[in-house]
Amino acid sequence: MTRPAPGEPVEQRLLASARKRSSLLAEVGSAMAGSLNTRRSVLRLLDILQPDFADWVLLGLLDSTAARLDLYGGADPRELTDIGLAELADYPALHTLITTGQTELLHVALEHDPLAEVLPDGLDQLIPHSARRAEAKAMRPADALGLALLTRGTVIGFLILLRGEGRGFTIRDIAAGEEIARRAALSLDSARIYRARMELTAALQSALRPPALPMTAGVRLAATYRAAAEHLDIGGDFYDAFGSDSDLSLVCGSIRGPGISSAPAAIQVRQSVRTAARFSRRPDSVLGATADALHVEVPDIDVSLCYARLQLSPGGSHATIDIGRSGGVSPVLIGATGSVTPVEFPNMPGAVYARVEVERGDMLLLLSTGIVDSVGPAGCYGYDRVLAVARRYAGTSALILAEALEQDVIDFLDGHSHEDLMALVVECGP
Amino acid sequence: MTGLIEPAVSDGIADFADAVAALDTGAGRAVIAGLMESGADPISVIDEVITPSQREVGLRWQGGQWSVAQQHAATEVALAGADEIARRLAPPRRPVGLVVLACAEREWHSLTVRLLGLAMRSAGWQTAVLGAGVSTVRLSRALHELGPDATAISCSVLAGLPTSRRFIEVSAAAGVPTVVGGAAFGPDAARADALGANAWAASARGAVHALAGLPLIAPVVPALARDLQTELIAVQAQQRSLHTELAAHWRPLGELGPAGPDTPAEVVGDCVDQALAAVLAALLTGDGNVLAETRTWVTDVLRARGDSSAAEHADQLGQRLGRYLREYPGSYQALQRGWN
Repeated sequence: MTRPAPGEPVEQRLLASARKRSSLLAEVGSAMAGSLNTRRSVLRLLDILQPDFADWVLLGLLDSTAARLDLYGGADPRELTDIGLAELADYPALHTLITTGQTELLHVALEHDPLAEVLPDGLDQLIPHSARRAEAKAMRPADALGLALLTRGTVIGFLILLRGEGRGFTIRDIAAGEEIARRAALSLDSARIYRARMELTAALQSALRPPALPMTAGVRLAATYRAAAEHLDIGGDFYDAFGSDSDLSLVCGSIRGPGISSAPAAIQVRQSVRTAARFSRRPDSVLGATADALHVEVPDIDVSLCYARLQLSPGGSHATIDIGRSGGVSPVLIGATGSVTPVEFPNMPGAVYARVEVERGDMLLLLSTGIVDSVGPAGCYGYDRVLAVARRYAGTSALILAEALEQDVIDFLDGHSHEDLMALVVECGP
Repeated sequence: MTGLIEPAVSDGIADFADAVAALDTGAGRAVIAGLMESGADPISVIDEVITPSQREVGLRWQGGQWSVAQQHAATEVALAGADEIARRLAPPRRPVGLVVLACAEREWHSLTVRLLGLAMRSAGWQTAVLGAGVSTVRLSRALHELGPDATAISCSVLAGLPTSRRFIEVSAAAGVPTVVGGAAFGPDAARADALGANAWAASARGAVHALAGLPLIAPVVPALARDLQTELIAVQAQQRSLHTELAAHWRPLGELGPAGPDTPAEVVGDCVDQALAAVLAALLTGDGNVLAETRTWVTDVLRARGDSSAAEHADQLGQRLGRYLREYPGSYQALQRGWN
């Protein structure tokens, strides 16, 4: 072993610090890439920064309205609070940071220092929340570093880092902090964009199917829905259920075409059916009025639609279901005693109609073509398998049948991709 | 530990079991409603009343007394009971945190995860129950959308363990810690640890307790060893053809037919599925007990259906499986050690 040259320990220390900073930057980049959720991304950032790079961290991020800043961090990183943008004027140092995007470094004097007053003044100008500010003061920081979260030409928030006595921020630390803020800002902005997309998707989902099926006294409803675009959970299939306890409308429809691009048309059809049903609940009226409306609004649309009107007898022991179908798959009638029969319609082009009578415990299964046409390793799922599942689960309940059908189809697919899968089950009773 | 069960809850245990045995949803609902109205702790109702009744349901199928459809019908009684608990739980005003709950793909027992969600809600957690048969894509989407404090994974069937591992990986990649439980994870934390979960729980109360001890940020889960990963993929890819081969040549019930409500083909299919899932589970967790447990389970299932040579037939299943898996060293050795 050779003796270390004079000065080498300093070089080694510098090298170690540089390595640490480099590793920190890499960690920020990779860890924040793991989540597209704003809160989780912030929590990860705080976890990485504390305590190695800073002893206390506060992060402010513009919310979706761009009128308020969400505040994360402090003693309890799970705690979330916020302030209005207008209030920033009361915190000149922070206000400057946000408006200019320039880094702010405050050297804070210790209590016994003749310049101790600098401490409250500096932090009072930088930390825009009284409880967080009290935490910061209690730890008697040596330095406070304020960084703008600047990305795509806009400041979307700030990062305040405090270090305790004996370890202020060096020039290299400040440069590393600025790089951390840059990477964090990019990730957090992506998370914000993702969140906006998710809100849009949620709005589309609620327009494609009811958030919850109606709870009625005389019938039980259950549905299953798996979109081809599972990461978005929207597609060209839709269902609906509305009306009263004794007069219920059930809708099951499908737009031919790639799932996501069919969603707007599916929403339009669902709304058209609802509007048509306001004037008459009869299947011929509803299908006729819906077809007329779509012919005018979206003439090229290729839609299959099944509309069923269930009218419950007084006392609820039996019900009459009038069904109108335009394309798609024939619904299945499942008797409580085990009989399973496809609903029969006249063999003619265009919309066709049928009436079935059901008693307590009987079920009607409406389903999309996506289920029947599903292709797995053993071939096409087919209508016969639907009937087999229905036979096996006759006499159970709407919920059990819907879940069993979903399970059977997914097991059959064995990981293969699929079209939109949707089924709606109505059970007379309980 | 019957002595520790609160009196209000112990009164309902037999009544609810009777309701489940009779497949009487109304009676089951009334029992749970009565317990809740009398001020019983929801978690005790879940752990001491509803969950044991479901174990009994599984044993009835295993014993050839009930068909799969009857199992489902019995589950609905429990679901009705769960509804009664849910109706009486107000959303927490200041939630302790948010938990996403899911069953992995190939795991269709959604009741457990629903009950777990209720237990967590009663302890002040906000919950998002994704249900059964959840794909990794769907869980990942929920994690990004909701940013939960924890993922709770329920897995009662061995076939769900590979996806449970993927759930753990996806959660850890997003920094979200995981708590896992269910029969497939076995009687202790060993399998959960092997899969990289942050916590394991044996009951709803245990899961609620485990949530409090989870880290804020989950560390990244180490990747599986390359050889293991390669073999898992290869065996999974063969699973369907292996199933077909085994189901065609392994005929434990002969011409007798089963002394139960399911057909011989259904029983053979279930046994073969379980054996294949056990191989993958043993490979993934390194726990050979899973194969011995499965051999016992297959023996019990066959015996309950009138197979007088059940143990011999269970051994034959292991031997046939071994012949097909000879070229996969990890699976073959696990099978030799655990099954034979």
